[in-house]
Amino acid sequence: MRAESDDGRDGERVRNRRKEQGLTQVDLAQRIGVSRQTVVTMETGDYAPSVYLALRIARTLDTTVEALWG
Amino acid sequence: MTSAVERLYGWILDRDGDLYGDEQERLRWYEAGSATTTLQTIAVTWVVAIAALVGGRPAAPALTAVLIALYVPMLLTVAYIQRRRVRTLPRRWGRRRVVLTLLTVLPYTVAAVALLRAFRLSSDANLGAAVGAALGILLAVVVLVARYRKERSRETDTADIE
Repeated sequence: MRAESDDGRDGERVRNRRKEQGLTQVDLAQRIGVSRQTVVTMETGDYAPSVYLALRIARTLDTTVEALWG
Repeated sequence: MTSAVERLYGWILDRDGDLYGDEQERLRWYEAGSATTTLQTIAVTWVVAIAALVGGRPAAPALTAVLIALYVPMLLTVAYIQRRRVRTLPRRWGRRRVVLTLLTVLPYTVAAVALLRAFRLSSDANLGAAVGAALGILLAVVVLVARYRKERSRETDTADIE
């Protein structure tokens, strides 16, 4: 299994959407139940979340999984 | 139905708990654990096999028992993987797979030689062991080929259905 995204653009979309929502990495981490480090690795493209976590992130950021990772 | 092996592995892996942190951290622990296991398997089996060879009769039986103790969890792992419907037969034998297989299998051969040497069996017994080993290898090859054929026919059947 390869968890990383190839170019980090997915992570950039998560970061942009988080900022649009006025959330810090810590805020987002607390709302989706992961550590801040996990949010960092997602935003740098070093980690692609599971479907379940992706759904939680999309709901928290008031968007869709497709918009963030599509 | 969940088997005892699956329950044991589920308890160790703690997929829904916080033993390994959140899902990203858990994945990294699993990755590192997997690499560690491979390294330990190679390092420990080689050290034990060579120690059995050098240590002779007093050391060989106990060290061989250590090798067996290392081997049993590997069998459990294969059983677990098969239960989770993951193919255990390699699709292809690349260089990396051959090297890793040799590194993990050869220590058991060395340990077997160490046991034979430790107990200084007669030449007849040595010949018997050699014949037994050859037959064992032949049987393993036959079983492997049969499993590959069965797997291939199952894949063909599935392809027909799809």
